[in-house]
Amino acid sequence: MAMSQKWWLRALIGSAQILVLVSLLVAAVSLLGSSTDQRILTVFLINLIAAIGLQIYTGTSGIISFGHVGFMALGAYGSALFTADPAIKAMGIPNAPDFILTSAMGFLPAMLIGVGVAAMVAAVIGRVFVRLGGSAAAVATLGFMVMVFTVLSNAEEWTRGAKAFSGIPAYTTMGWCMGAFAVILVIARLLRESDTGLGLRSSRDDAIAAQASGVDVVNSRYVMWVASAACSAVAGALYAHYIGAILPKAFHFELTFLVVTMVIVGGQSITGAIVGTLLITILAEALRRLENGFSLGSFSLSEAPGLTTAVLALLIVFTLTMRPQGLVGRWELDDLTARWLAKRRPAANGTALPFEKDRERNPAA
Amino acid sequence: MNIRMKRIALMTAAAALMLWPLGAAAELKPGTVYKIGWASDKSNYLSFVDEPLAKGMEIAIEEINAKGGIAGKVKIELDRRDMKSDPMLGATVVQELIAAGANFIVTTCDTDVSLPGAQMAAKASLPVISSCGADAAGPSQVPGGFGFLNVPGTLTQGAMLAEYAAKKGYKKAFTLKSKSEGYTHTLGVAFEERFRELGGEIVGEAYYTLGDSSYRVTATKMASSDADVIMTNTFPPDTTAFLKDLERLGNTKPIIMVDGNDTPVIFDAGGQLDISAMTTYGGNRTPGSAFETFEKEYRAKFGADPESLQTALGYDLVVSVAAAVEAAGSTEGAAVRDALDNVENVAGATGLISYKNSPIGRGIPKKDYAVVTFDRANRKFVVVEVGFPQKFPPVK
Amino acid sequence: MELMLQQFINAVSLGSIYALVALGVAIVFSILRLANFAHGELMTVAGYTLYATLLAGVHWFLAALAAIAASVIAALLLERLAYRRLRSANPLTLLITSFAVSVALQSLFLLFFGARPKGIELPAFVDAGFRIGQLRVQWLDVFIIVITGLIVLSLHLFLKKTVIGLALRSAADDFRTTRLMGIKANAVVVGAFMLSGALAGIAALFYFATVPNVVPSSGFEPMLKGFIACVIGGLGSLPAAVVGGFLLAFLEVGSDAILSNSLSPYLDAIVFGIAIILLRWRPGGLFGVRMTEDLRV
Repeated sequence: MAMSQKWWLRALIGSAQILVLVSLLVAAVSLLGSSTDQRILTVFLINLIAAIGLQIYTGTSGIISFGHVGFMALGAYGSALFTADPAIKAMGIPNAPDFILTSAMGFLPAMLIGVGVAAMVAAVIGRVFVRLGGSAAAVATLGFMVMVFTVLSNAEEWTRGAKAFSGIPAYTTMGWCMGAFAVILVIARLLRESDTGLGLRSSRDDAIAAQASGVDVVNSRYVMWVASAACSAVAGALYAHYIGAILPKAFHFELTFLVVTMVIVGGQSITGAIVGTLLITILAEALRRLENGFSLGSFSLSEAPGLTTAVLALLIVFTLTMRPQGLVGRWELDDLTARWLAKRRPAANGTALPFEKDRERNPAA
Repeated sequence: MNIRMKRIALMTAAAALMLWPLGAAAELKPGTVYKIGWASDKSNYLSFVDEPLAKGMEIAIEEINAKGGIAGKVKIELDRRDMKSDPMLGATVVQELIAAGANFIVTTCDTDVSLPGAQMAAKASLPVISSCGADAAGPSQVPGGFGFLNVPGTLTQGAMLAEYAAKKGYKKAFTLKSKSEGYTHTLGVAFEERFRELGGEIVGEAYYTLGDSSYRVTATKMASSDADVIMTNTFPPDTTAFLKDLERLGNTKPIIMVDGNDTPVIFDAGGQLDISAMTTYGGNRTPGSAFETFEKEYRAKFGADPESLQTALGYDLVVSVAAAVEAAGSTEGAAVRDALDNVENVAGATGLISYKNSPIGRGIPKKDYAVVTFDRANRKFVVVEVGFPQKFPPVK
Repeated sequence: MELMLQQFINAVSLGSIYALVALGVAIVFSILRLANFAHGELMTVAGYTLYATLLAGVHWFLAALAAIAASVIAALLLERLAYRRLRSANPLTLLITSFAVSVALQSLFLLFFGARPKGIELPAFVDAGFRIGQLRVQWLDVFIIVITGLIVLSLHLFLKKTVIGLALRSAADDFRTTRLMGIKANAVVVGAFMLSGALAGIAALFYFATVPNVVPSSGFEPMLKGFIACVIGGLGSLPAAVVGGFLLAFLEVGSDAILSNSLSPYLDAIVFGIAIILLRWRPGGLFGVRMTEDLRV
């Protein structure tokens, strides 16, 4: 039963449930979907990893970050620079240092370099950022994203500046995406259910009270910040090796707002990030197809550019006004299944919904 | 009419090609359709150039189809889908277009944003052209020689402006560039390189971010510098804001600018236009010229003057592709690619277009530039010079 | 010396626009804890109104009034249609909602007006100026600075001396208590949005006088600047928003004026870097008094 579960066991069970569902989705689309569907699915998985990466920080601390796309960019460029064909690098970035020019690594080591770079940057700047909350955090993290963008656009010798950096091997497959997703999902849940994560979550509503009851808010946030930056970088590396050519502009306001919206629409849990990403991907894709295929008499939707974007945005507004806490609020899938089971078998479970109480347990008490 | 006659008359060189062992499906059969798939921006920041381009393409397609299609047999069909200036979505849309049977791929007006889509097309052995993207390094990044541009690129344009400036006797230039995009940076660098080569000096460089609203600091610096010419890589709405700021400081230094400003919106920039010049295409805009004929057709169809130069570039794109398909005698990707590489002196709306033995690089057309000044009273461009730079920096 | 004075005027004029935008953002924030991303779109609404009315031959003064009215109406509509249901939601949800509203509005502008910039036919006096020695002063700047000063002053008096102003101020301090004291919540919120809309409209007039083109995304940049100004000044406080606006303008103009060629492409990064350091030093902004949303650690 939920009450007696160890925190790590709950994290693993929760991850397994989600993994099963996502695997079913992937299997269905792989078997039945067109080539475009499969592409959309891969992009969905990459966005999913980015959203979970951000949720590791936002979901536990209650603080938004507009800067995580900056970490994605670091992961993307970090991985791309060490894997791209040396012949193409010799043309594109002839003045880059030798260890980059000659490098032609495999995916995993290069991805780890990208992740390492992002984590290092996050560790260095983190002390400043984790002390900020609310709007100050929003502006400061947005500032970080702009700084990454500016540096990448100017570092011509390494990145070709604003121009596309191409020749990145197409390593990203569905298998890689699912593997990375599984690993990050488990990490995210473990962090969330750990004492650090639980303490931090209790600080969401009242940081001062949480601190008074012994939660080390700053250090807990710092751990989450670095971990979430690293996970975002994984999404960046997958992105780079899927698209084959990257440019700084791809990691700017638009992707930032997309990922942030996915997270907020979904809710405050890891499940929320997944639901949000799924919902927005499906809506955006459905509207896009409608736009391309729909016509009524002489009126064709494709002649009304902007309409589908407006509809998508309004649907998001509608969802948030209906469910201000996000679609699933702070619940995880395993909470919901447990609740469902408890409702079905009330006799087997004397007290009502004990897991809720358990979730609220004060780690300091 | 006129353009069509000329096009047939001039379309010569590519004809000799194409002894490919063609499958029956690839031959130009009457009643078949040649499908141009366009991963275009309809709803984001590049749509302001893709929208007018679409209209120019429409005119060319109607004109060709009215004659029975390419070689009088194969009708052209345009399938334009929105990619919202997102490189990832761009590649997805290209894949979708290929699945929908596209024979030729057009991408949006930025060679960098559209590169993933272009690479996707090349993988499917389809030729691909950027609607008006201008990075000369673009085609070389698309494997298999499938990549093309629709304009001669930033390097030649920068050089053209530098040669014009040198001819005018300017010695000291102040440049305004942006690293937000390849276009707004490489063009300026090419100008600087060629200007220095011609004995000029760059006395100041300033940078802006695309979408900046205030250029006052830069304008103040420029006005108080000892430069005798100002070179800007901006395009509207940035250009109008920049020129207004210069005007309010009482600037008298001549200004030279780039083809992104070839749109009627530029005439809102005010008095500084009187001392400005700009590079663009379609030098011959006199009555009876291809450009004039095109504008007439445009007015007949849309009931208004063309919104910008991009309409003409859209027309150019379609006639070049049609010429290549006709020369190839086939719709097969590699055959059309090779034929497009050999297109010579096709009459587009902006003048003669040649891909064959391009001095700039494979896949990059040679078209004459025009240097124009601004007739504010009539909101018209006045052509002062037509030509092509004698020398330009190499593709990097 | 002239150069420095000229840049000083540039900074004051730019700062005035930022301050007006920041004020508009701050008024709504102080009451609803809503950092309204769609504030920029209120400016764009004013811009398109200006474009349409001037094109139709309306006198510039009436066009200006129409523009301000349009952004006030837009602000009220936003409040009624989007934000009213969300009053008790957490600030993050509000932030994302306002962002989605902003995207939706931009898409609608695109739909109705197209992506191409629309030129605004400004009256000639906007470009007029006079000289003091080597220094060139534009009437527009004088205008912007004086009117901003008047607005800040009258807003101050309005909040201090009128009943509505008092209600607004006490709501900013503690919305719940103010409601308990019999002030109608709707009246206060609607009042705040009206003020915010009017400030956006006036800021838009000045903005589009310097950038005579309007595009669907016109409002994004000034909104972002106003938002940054608010945060570095201290969100929730109106005087802080004004100071933040001028501070940001001086920071931008100052760095742009002194940066060398090799550093000037990094301007955005440098300005943000300084802002971040400032926030690290004072997480609530320079004059931040309201720390409830932030953690002081």
